[in-house]
Amino acid sequence: MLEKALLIEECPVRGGDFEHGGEASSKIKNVLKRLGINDPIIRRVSIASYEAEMNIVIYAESGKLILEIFKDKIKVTAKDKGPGIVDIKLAMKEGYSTAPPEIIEMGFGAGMGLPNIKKNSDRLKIDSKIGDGTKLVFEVDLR
Amino acid sequence: MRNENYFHSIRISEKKCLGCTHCMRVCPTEGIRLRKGKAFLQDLKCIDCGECLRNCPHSAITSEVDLCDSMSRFDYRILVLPSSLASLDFKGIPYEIILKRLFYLGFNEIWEEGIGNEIFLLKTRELLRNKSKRKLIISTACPSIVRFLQVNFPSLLYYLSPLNAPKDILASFIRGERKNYKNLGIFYASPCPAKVTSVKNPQGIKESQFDYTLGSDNLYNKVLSIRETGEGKMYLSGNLGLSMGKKGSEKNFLKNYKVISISGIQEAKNFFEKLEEEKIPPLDYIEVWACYNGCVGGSLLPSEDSNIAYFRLELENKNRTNLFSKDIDTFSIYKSIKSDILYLTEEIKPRPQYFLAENFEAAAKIMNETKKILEKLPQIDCGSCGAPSCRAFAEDVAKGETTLYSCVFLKSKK
Repeated sequence: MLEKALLIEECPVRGGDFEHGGEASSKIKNVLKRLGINDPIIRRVSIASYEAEMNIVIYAESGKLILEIFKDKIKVTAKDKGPGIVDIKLAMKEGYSTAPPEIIEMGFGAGMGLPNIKKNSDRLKIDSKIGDGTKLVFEVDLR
Repeated sequence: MRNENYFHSIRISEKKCLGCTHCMRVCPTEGIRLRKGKAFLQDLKCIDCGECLRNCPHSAITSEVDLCDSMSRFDYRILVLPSSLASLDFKGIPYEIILKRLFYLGFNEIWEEGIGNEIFLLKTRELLRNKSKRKLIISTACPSIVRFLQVNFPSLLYYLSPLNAPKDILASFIRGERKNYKNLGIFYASPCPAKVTSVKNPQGIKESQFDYTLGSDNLYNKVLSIRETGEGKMYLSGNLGLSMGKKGSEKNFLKNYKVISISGIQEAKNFFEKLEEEKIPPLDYIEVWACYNGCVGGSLLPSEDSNIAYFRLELENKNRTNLFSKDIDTFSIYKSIKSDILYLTEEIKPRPQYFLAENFEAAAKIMNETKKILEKLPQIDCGSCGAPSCRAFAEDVAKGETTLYSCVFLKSKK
């Protein structure tokens, strides 16, 4: 049987809303801070969450981040309604990006998002349906 | 009972407090609650910024300073004046006369904190020049900011400057210079509650070299009401040291580096949030003050407005044509001063208040409970329950510190 999460927080994310992009991961960071989680772990989760959030802002129509706290790990799920990822393997490569030029001009879409999430998490799983959306789940172990 | 480890100089008069909630709403760490209709300070959260004192419409909040009577305990008395004091409206009386009136009150020597500022700034520039390991440095000049990091941003303590605060560098220096003087008392005229607290309960050093703090407001009334003047030894700072009474001085002096200058506790809070999330362009140094416009905005200064005080200090500073002090060679002090005076000697540790509970499982439970309670609340943050927001109230209930029916809305439905 799956273990029950000690705490679940849902943070909505709006596609194309660069002004508020980053607020969901900021909220996640503040929850972890108040729980008394170690700083290095907070840092890893914050960076990975921010990347996942900005992916929704850049590419999707709408989505959300779901934070789940377990006894031994932190799990973040980023779900969106959007175009989906055509080639996940390719998207995982550093520097690979399908972002349009105006996004790259803003300093996003450098092809570091997914590699950065992978680097800052212990497990990463991506499910994507073209034309439907993406579900990205990463976990960071507490010990 | 007060926890002596978390001494604060802020005092709330139960007699004068009407329970109006002004202070509770402006506290940056949500450290004030109403209990039985009176404001109550939570020691673990208070950073002595003085926002409550500034915003109390009934003068019920004060900072506990020492009385001028304490001077009689010493045979030789030295007064250290903060640069921000020169920003006050002395009703047309020249600053030099004000200083002479202070001598009349019984001080043998007057030193401007600006001399400490000059040493602090020179050393800071040297740190930035030799900086390799650290990414950035946060100024330790404002004691309220140091405490703010301890309470709300423990992960940023790592970036704090290793330097002692200017006033404490100066006090230690004076103590060393006058070590043969019998029964010597060093006094500080504090512009804010945080500096009062930092004398009685310092962070980063074992003990302060100041014996007493006098409130700038008391001293101001005294010097304006006497006519007599006295004589004594005067050590005035130069333009550089005096300028540090206001925001922008560190940035200005460190102009070859990437420096941001921030003032106001709410602004500092927003900035530290972003810094924590690494959403700030690369920086070398952060000048940051809890009060608007820097120390000229200090809540114990009898000035009507920090912008006017800022301007007045600029005017006074025009009289100082020399960059460094003329009365003492700050540059050679900076070169020769002992490192145990210059540097902090104790670790500045986080204060444990931030975490909801001992372990994160218990904390998660409280957070879950908080969420459930918050759904029942009107979420209009009226403050009648005695907490600064519905969220803070929900958390207090979840922690068992108050009951749900302190909420007037739920009470009326019951």
